Amino acid sequence: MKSYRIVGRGGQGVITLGKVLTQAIVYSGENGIMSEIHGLSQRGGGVVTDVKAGDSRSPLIMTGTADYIISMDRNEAISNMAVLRKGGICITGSGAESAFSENTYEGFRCMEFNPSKIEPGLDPRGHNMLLLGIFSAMDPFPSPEFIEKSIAENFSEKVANANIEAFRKGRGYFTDMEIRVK
Amino acid sequence: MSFLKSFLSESGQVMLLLGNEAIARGALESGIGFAATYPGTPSSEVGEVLMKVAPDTGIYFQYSLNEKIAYEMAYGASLAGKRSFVFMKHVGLNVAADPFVTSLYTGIGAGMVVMTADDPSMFSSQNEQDNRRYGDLAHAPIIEPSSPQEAKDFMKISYELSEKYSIPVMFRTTTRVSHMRAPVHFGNIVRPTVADMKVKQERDRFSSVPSNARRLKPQLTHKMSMISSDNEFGILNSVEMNEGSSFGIITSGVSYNYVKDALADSGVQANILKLGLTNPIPVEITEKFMRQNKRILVVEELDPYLETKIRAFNDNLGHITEITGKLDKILPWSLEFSETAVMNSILKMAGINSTVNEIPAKGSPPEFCPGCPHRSSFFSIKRALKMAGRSDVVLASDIGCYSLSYYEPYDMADIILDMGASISVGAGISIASGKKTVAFIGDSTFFHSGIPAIINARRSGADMLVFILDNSTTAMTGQEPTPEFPLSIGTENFSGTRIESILEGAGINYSTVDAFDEGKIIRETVGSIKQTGLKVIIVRGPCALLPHKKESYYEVSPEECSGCMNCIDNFHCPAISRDGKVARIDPYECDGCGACAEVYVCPVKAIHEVKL
Repeated sequence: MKSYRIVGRGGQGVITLGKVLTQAIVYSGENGIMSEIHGLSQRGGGVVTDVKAGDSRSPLIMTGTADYIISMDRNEAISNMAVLRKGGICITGSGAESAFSENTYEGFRCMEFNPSKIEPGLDPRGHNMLLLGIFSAMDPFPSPEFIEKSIAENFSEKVANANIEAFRKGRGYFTDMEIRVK
Repeated sequence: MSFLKSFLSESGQVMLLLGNEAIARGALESGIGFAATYPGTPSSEVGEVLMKVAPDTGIYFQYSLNEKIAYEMAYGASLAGKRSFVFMKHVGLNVAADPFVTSLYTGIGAGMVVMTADDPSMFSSQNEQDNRRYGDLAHAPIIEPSSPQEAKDFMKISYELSEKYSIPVMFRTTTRVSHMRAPVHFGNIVRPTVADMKVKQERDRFSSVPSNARRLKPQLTHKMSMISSDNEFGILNSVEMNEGSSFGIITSGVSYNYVKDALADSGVQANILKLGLTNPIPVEITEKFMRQNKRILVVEELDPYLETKIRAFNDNLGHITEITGKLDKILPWSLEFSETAVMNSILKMAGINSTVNEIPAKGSPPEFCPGCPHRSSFFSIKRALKMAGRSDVVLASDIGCYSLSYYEPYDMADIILDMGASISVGAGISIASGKKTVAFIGDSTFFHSGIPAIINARRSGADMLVFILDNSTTAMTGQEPTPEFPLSIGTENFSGTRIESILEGAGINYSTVDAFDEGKIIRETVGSIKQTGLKVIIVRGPCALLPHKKESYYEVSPEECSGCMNCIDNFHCPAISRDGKVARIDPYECDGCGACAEVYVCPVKAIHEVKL
C-alpha cells in the first residue's frame, strides 16, 4: 500500500495531478482511489486530495502514514507535514530564488523546486506535471509509461503533448541532478 | 479519449470515476428519461455529467430554479411514465421537503429516485444535517452506497425497488462517497422508455385531499413493512463473518471503508454487517447478525440514526445483544469520521488501552478569485457605507461565493442563514427594529428563493437596501446557468428572464451598476443608503471562472507605488503581493479586471494595464 497527499491552492491543478496519478496506478494493475474536495472549500484556498494505491478503502490518509506529500505550494506542504510517515518524502513547488533547495519543517525534510527556474519558458499550467515528473524520477511506481498514458487520457489532445513534455522535463531535471550529486 | 466518449462506452469497460459521476452512469444504466436538480456541493458533478450526456442519450435534463421545483418536475415526469431522477445537496431537501413527504403517500408512476448528498464536516455547507432523518420522517426507503462502484450499481437497484413498490427512493451519499474516485465497472446503458400515464385513472391516489391521504398513510407504512422483509433486495446488504469472534460492527456508507481499514490496521477481529438499505432496516439479516454477536458497535457518521433503530429492534427482540455507539459516547456525533476515529472506538471495544491521534492540516482559507466581481463590489460598498457614516448598519448576506465577504478584510456579512434568507431576515430586522438593513444576494439565489422574499419585503414596508450581485451564473457549484440565460437543451429560443423585469413587475425601485466600476458603486450606495424604503442595486459583472479571453493584465510601477498597501490590505487580490516596499502583481494570476487600477484602490495611480 502506498499513499500520497497532493496539496496546493485552488487553480494550481492539484486535482488534475491526483487524477493523473490515480489513473496511472490503475493502469499499473493496482487498485487506486482518490478523494477530493470541491465547492466553496476550493475557491483560491487550500486544496487537498488523497491518493492511495493498494487494498486500502478509506478515502483519507491517517496522520503519520503518508509515503509522499506532493505539493504545488510550500505553505500548503508545511501545513500538511503531520500526514507523513517516518521517512516519508515531501516534494513541493516554491517561489524560491534557487531552482532546488532543501528545508526541514516539523522535523520532516522537504525538497523544494521552483518550476519557473527549472523551465523558465513553461506555461505555469504545466507546473503540476513538471512536479509529477520530479516525483516520477524518485519513484519507479507507477512507471513513467503509465503516467504518460494517463496524462494523454486526462488532457485534451490539444494540450496533452505539452503536459507530457512538462512531465519529461521534471523527470529529466531530477535525474540529472541526482547524477551530479553522485 | 475524451471524457464523454469513455463515459458512454459499453458494458465491460472500467473507468476511473468520481462517486457522483458513477451515480450519473448508474442513472443511465437504469434507463432514466428525466433528470432535474438545483446545483449544490457535494452533489453538483452529477448534473455536470448528465447535462453533457443528455443530447446523446435521449434523456431530458434541467437545472431547475430550486430543489422544490426540481422535485416536482421529476415527480411529474414519473407520473408521465418516465423513470425520473432528482438530486441535490442535503440542505436542498429542506427546500424540497414539502413535495417529498407527500409524494411518499401518493406513490409514483415510473421509478423515481431522489439523491441527497450530505456534507459531514461542512466543507461547503452551513450545517451537517443527517438526511436519513428525512427518509425516516417521510417513510422513504433509503439506500446508501459506500464506493463509486456501489454508487452506480445501487442506482439500478433503487429504480427496481421504486417501481416494485411504487415509492420514491432516497439515495443518500456523503461528501466522501460523492467525491471519492475509484475504478468503476460498467453495465449496459438503457435507452429511456415511456410507460402509460395513469394520472386520470388514479386521481384518488394523486390528489392528496384529506380523504385520500387518510387511506394512503396506512398503505405507505404497509409498503415499508413489506420492504423490510423483502429478500429480493438483499444484495444491498452484506455480512462478513470472522470465525471465533463475537464482536460485531453494524455500519453503512463511507463508514464501512473506515471500519475495514481500521480492523486491518489494528489487527482486531470483528464481524461486519454492512447495510446498503438503511430504511427500513432489513429485519432478517439484521436479527441473525445480532444473535451471532454478544456485543455490537454501530459505526455511522453524524446522527445515531441506525443505532437508535438497532437499539429499538434489540429491545423488541428481548435484548438479545449489547448495542453501543454514539449514544454511549464511544463515537462522536459531530463532523466526519476518519480511520483514526473509527480505530479508536474499535480499540476501546477490544479492551486495548491505546489510541491513535489525528492532527488535522490547516490549509489556507478560500478567497475571491482574481478578477472576481465580488471583490470590487464589497470593497466599494464597504467604503461607501463608511463615507455615508452607516458602517453600523446590519448586513444580511446569503449563500454563494459572496459568503466569503464574511472574512477579512471585507467583514461584510453579519448574518448568513439559508438560501434567500438575506432579504427576509433583513426585512424582519428592519420591521422589528425600525432601522435600515442591507442585504446581499446572488443572482442564482435570487431566482432560487429571493423573489417571493423581496415581494414580501416590499409588502412589509421594510426599509432596506438590497444588493443583487449578478455574476451571470451559479458560480460556487461549477458555473451552472441561471434563468437569465437559455438552458442548453430544447430551449434555444428562450430569451432569458431579466432580473430588472421581475423588479419592475413587482414595483420595486432599482438601479444597475457595473461591478468593476468602483466610483459608480460608491455613488449609488451613498445616495441610496440615505433614502428610506426598499431599494435594489443590481451589481453586474461576470464570474471570473466563466470562459473568457484575457485581453490584458495589470502591473505596478515600482517608481510610482507609494507603498500604502491599500491594494493588499483592503482590496486583497491573490494576484497582488508585497515585494519589499512596493506591491507586485503576478501577471499570470492577474485576470485583467482592472479594478485595482482605480483611484479608490490605488490613490497614486501606480497600476497600469498591459495589453496582451
